Formats: sequence, C-alpha cells, structure tokens
Amino acid sequence: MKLFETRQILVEELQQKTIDILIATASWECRAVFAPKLLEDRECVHRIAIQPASKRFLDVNNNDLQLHMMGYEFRQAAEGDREFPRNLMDELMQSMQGSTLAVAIDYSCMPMAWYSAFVDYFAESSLDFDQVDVDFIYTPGKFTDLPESQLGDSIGPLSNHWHLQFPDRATALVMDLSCEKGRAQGLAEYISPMELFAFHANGFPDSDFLDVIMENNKGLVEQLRDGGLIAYSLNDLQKVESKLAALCMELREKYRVIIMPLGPKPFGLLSLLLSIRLPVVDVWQVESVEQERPIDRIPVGTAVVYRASFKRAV
Amino acid sequence: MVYQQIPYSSLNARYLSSEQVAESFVPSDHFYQLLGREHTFLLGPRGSGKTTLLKMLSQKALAAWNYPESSELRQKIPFNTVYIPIDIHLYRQILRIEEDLYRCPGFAELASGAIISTCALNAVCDAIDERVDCEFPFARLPDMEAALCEQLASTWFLNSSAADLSAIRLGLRFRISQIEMEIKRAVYCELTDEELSELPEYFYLDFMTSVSSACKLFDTVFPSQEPKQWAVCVDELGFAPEWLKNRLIAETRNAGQAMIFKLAASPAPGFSESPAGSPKACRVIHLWPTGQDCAYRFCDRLARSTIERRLGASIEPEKLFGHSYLAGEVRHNAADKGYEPGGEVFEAVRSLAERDQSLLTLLVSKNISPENPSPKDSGQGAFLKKIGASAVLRSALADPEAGSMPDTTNKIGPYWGVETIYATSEGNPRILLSILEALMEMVAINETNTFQPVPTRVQARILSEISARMSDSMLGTPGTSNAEVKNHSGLWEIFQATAFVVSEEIRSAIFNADYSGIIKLDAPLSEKISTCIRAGLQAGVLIQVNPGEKLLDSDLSDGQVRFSYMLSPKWGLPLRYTGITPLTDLLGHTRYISDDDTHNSGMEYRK
Repeated sequence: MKLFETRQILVEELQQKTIDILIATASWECRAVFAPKLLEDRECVHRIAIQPASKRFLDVNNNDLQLHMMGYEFRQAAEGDREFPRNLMDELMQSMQGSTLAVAIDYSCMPMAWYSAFVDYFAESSLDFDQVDVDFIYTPGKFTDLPESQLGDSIGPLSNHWHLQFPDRATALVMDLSCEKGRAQGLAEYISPMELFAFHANGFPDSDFLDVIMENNKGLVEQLRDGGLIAYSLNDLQKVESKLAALCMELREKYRVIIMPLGPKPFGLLSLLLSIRLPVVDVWQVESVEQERPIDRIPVGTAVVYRASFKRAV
Repeated sequence: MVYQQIPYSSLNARYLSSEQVAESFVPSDHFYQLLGREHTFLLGPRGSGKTTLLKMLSQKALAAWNYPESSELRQKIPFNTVYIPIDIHLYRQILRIEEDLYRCPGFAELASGAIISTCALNAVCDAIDERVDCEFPFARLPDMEAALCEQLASTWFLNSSAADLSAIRLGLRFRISQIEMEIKRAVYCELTDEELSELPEYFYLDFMTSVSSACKLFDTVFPSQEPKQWAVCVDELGFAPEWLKNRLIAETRNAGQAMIFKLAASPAPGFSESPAGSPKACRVIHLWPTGQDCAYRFCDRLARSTIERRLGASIEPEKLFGHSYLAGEVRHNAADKGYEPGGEVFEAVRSLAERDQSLLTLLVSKNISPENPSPKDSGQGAFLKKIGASAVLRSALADPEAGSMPDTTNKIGPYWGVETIYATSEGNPRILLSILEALMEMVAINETNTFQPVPTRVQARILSEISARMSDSMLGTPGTSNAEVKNHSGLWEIFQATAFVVSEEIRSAIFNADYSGIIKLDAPLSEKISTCIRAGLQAGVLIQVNPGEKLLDSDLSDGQVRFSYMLSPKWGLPLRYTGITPLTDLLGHTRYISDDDTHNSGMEYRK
C-alpha cells in the first residue's frame, strides 16, 4: 500500500473511532497498560498483546492480568523478531473485511524491530482495502536521569530502511539525542559524518529531561554550529516530521543520509515513515542492553497518537 | 542554510578531493615509506592520516601539492593509483544485507561481491578521469575516450552505447540501484538460492579481474611514454566483507605480480588470514608513535604549517604555547632552562621537596640541594631529567602532606606547552589539528601587531575539554561495552581501573617516576574483551605499545596497550607510562577513578 498521509490526532478522536485491530505490548512497565485502558471501551475485532519472549523481568505491575481482563489475546515474540509482526498481521487480515481498516498499535514499550516491521508491513503489502489507517500510540514515561541502558555492539540500518550509494559520497548524520552520556558523541565519531545534525525533545515529559540531554551530550553539542541543534516538541509530531523531511531532502542532494533515533520512540517512528516516503534515507538502529534493574516507566501526561494512512497502490 | 561540520569530520580527508588534500598536506616519514613498489599495509587509528596518505599517492594530488619535492616525486613514484574507499556506512549496510538474506546465502555472497565490484569500478572511473586530466590534458579526444568506454562497457556488462566516462558512471549508478532492488525483492519475497538462479551477468563479475582489465585497457588506449604499474589502494579494509579482506591479503602474497596493493586498516585489524612472504615483498607501516621523536617531528611540522595557514605568519609553536616538561624532555635549544632557577622543573622540584619527604630524601641521596635543585654535573642532570615530568605532575596534582587527599587548589593542571600538545595528540593529525584549531582561536594580537602567547590556563582548559570529549565518546563507541557480562568489564571499566592504579601512584607517599599505565594483555582474551580492545585501538582511545610481529595477527594475547594520553588532561594522568599492569589485575579491580566532572584533579575516588 502507499503511505499517503500522516497526522497527529487527539486521543479523544481515537477513543471515538472504530478500531478493528488493537495491538499492545505485554511489557512489565507500568505505562504498558495506559493506552489499553484508554481504549478499554472500544469494540475491536482483535485485541492482541505481544509478550517479549525473553521475559527478563517480573511482571511487577500485574500487566498481564490487567490485559487479560481487558480481553487481550497473548502472543509471544523475540524482541528482535521482525517476522512476527508480519506473520501476525497476515493471520489477522484473514478475518478482516470491508473497504477500510483501522489499526491501533501502542508502541510505547515495543522494541524498534517490532514497530518498524508493522510500518513496513503496511507500506509493502498489497492489502485488499481502499484505505488503512494505522494509529501509532505512545505513552510518555516519567523522566528519570538514571542510565537506561548500555550500548550494545550491534549498530546499523534497519531491514528495508537502507539505500545503496557509492562510498565516495559523504555521509550526513541526523541524530535524535538520548540521555545516555557520551552515546551520541561516540556514535558520531564512529560514523565520522561530514555533516551532523542533532534533534532533541524539548522539555518533554518534564524540564529535567532537557537539562540532562544537554549535560550528557555537552561535547557533541559544543561541536555544532547554529542550526545544527534542533529542538522539537512531542506535542507537535507533524511539525517534527516536516522539519526532518526538509532537512533530509536538502541533505540527500549531496550526501548519503543516516537518521539515528536514540531518543524517545516517536522520533524513531517519524524516521521510519519518512524513510518510506524518501527511500534514499537510511534509518539506523543502535542496540541497547538494558541495565540489570531497568527503570519502570510511569505514564505521565497523555498519550501521543500519530496516524499513518495507507491507500491501495495504483 | 549553513551547515556545520563537526571538527573531527571537517578534518577528514575521505571527503576531500585530491587537490584539497594536497593543499594542507604535511609529509611524514610514513609517506616516503609508502612510495615503494612493495605491497603495503598501512595501520592506524581513526584520524591518523591513512586516507590522506593513500590519496596523496595519486598523480593529481602530487601535481597539486605545493612542495619542493613534489614534481620529483611525481616522476619517481613507480605506480598509478586506483583509490577504493570503503567505510562504516557501506560496511554496516552489507552486514544488514547478509543478515536479511539468510534464506539465500549463495545470493548474499553474490550480492556482496556485486556491490563491492560496482564500487570498485566507480573508483576506476575516478582514477581514469584523474589520469587523463593530469597526464593527457590535450589527448582527451572523443575517439580515444569512446574507444576506451566502449571496451569498458563491454567488459563490465554495461549498456554498450556508453560513449564517455560520464555514461559509464551513470550506468554504474543505475546498476547499484538494480542490485538494491534485487536484494530487497529477495528479502520481501523470501526467495531461496534455487529461486534466484537467473541473475544478471554483472552479479558474477570478479572484482580484481574487472579492475585490472580496466587498468590494462586504459594503458592500451592511452599509452604512456613511461609506463608504470597500477596500485590498488583500499581504504578501511577492516570494514570490508570477510571475502574481500581474504582476497586482498591473498593477493599480497603474490610477489612479482602486475598490481601493487596499498591497504589501510585500523591497528590489530584481526585478519583471519595473514600476509606471507618476505618483509621486502610486503611492508607494514603503523601510524602511531612508538618513539616519541618521530611523532614530535611530524607534529612540529604540522603545527608550523597550521599556524602559518591560520595566522598568515611564520611563528614557532613554542612562541605561542611555550615549553612544558610534563611530557618528558623538551626538544629545543632552550631545553635546559627548565632546570635553571625559575624554570618549570626547578620550581616543581623545589616546591615539592618542601612538602614531600620521599623526594627530599631522594634529592639528598643524589647530592642535589632541595632548595636549589639545578644540576651540577651530568649525573645530576640525567637524574633530574628522569624525575622532571613526575615532579611537575605530582607538584601540580598531589599533596603528599595531606596524605591521599587531593590538592583542590589546583584545578587546571599542568597541561600546556608544545610538548604536551604533541604528546596528547599521539601524533594523530586529526586530533592535533582539532587542538591547534581551538588554540588558534585564542591567539591575541597586541597593539604592536605581535601575536601573544596563549595563556597556560587557557591551553589547559582547551586540552581538558577535548580530553573530556574523548573520554565521553568512549561510552558511545560501538564494541567497547561489555554489557552481557554481569560486572561488565568493558573498555570504560578497564580505563577507570587503570586510571585508579596510576592516580594512586601519583599520590603515593613515596615519590615515583614510573607509572604503570601500560596494560599487558596477559590472560587468554575472551572474544568480548578482544572486541573491546580492538574497538579502542580503532578509535585511538587505546594505543598499541611495541606492536612488533603482532600487527596483523587476530590474537592480541601477550601484547601491550595503553590508554591515549589525550585522556590525561581530563583525568589528571601522566603523559608517559613506563610501568606495566596485567589486564587480569585490572579486570579484578573493584575501585575506580571517579567519573565526576571535576576537571584535572584526578583525585576523587568512588570507594
């Protein structure tokens, strides 16, 4: 199908809409049930909760029980498994009818491999619908400046989100900064781009986040001149997408472009959607290894919903 | 929109043309070693100048190089070059492709070959362009070019109507897109090798055959009066697919062959194959200092050239930055001034001896007056030279009277002066240039239009900031963490333990001139630790000590490494290590130097 429109919608709009397929993550994090609770009253053909197969952490918040009470059907998948989302959707599609389809995916606690596979599924498949609306739901977690993860060894483009060009063309790197000290700096030096741009979420979910971002990325930020550091608000994802698109459109004329989302997941989602529209842009994933005692993300504020609408490709 | 180049990358020769590289090129001894006819491995960390050296081998770069020897070198150099760039971007894409094509491993191999071959053919077009421009400026006749391109198109399975190089290039660009489409189709449709049996011919092109036949074709169509061999220069071989590494290493075993190979990679590249043959047939050049002098001379030439370019005046670096004894001996006629009353070493020894009983005893045992510690004979001179750097560091950072407590009155530290600047750069031109560029910003001019020296505190601050950047970036360098292991002894933890050991020596109640910052890789290294060490060597955070025979071996065990002196200003560490600490001791260490932002004290510990 062809991605023809993206826009941010209010949770209220989603709450009034018919949802055919609702997908959540049966994570142990507190915020994993926030969006499912918001949509508890909606009638759905399918409610699926995907459990991370490794099950490394105890379900301290009783999320499994809560999701079960809300009528979710449980499936298991490995965190890096990109085929699972595709197989799941193929299976669910067999029972879906009509000219339009509404899917809602809560990706707040999903690994990038899963939500990128969902994005790719709708962009690549030839589905028998005139239009498919996919609402990607993100629940921000309360900020804490404890280190979230350690850098893993694996870094590189996501499947399908790469584009071959000759290496005599320089690389431009567009990053979304994370709170981990030195991570963006080390990765930027590793890739040695000719051009470097750094996005960062501005004061969201709370102002401490900005202070920590600036402190822990000080070395990198000092190396940027005017225009190289771009603040954005998670409350206006459409504007972020426009900024990112404009930048990448300009950069692609001279460079091989890599987008490296290290910060909040919505930036990762926007990068994937942009890479579908602008298939000369690479989206790279950086493997993280969670700490022995990872942070339990407590939901804060309200959910952010971004709708990607796909139409039948002509 | 004005885009900013980050300092390290703006100094990256990869993206510069031959002329741009030549514009600021300062030759090192390594450059002259590279001009020989033998196959060469050029090993060095990020920023050590591998790309610059390879690019400077081209006729076009030599022609653009404004240097007395350049025209002579152009004549003498026994080869023409094809520069084939490989980088992390392409490498990670190929890894992803190989992973995604797990259903069809045969096709994955062919796809990897086709990508590399197409990139190499594009590089051949660059080489042809350069040579025609440079050597046959009046011979770029349409007929000759058409004849060459017709044959190239036929050999490379391109559209045979290609009449000039730009058409060939377009064809190659189109081909790389076609390869991408074939790969994505195979992944999406979950195809197997059996279902991919009918591929376009270009998937079967042999990389070396295609390159060498094109070079021969060129020599036939554009005959030169003085025929030369061709040298294939491959940059960042460590980021090449395994098959290509093995193939090129195998080619270097082939002495007396038509093509010469100049291959650049990171230190300890971990090749699974090793080049055989006599050292005469295959030379290994490492681009990091094993002797201080070699790096000093090169750093000094580069500093002089940078100052002249930036300030438009020929000024000696020591006039702007002064001399410092922290890195050991100064290399200047004024060297001994440091040992005279008022000199840096004299004052450090004198003031330290007032507080440090162990130094006092040591001086008395050598018949040196603690109140007037200037050398009276060559024996005393040698002794003071040996302890000079330690005295300067200990005097600035430690306070023996206060036991193990830090001297909090001195927050800046003694990191200034040309010797310190050169030592912290490790002879790495990219690091040295970034330090110099930052320092140049601080050069003031007085009312008589004279350039003023950069104050030592300003120098120390700048070095500390650049040092902090390297320190921070260690946390974000792929391959350096070891998160799967419970006590995760990654590179950062090894550094913290080393810094702790050395800081304890600096602060010890007994004066010590030997710091144990050299790490002996004593235990059989796990794959994970080897990966950490290699990632550190590649990034230039770690420096291989006395690499000797182990340059290309896949096994690092029993070798020696140390952390870069660039980390010293941030952590208050010395600029010279002579003592050795086994890695096993460091891995078992439970006490680390603190990771707070107290610059240069190096004295606060997490206990």
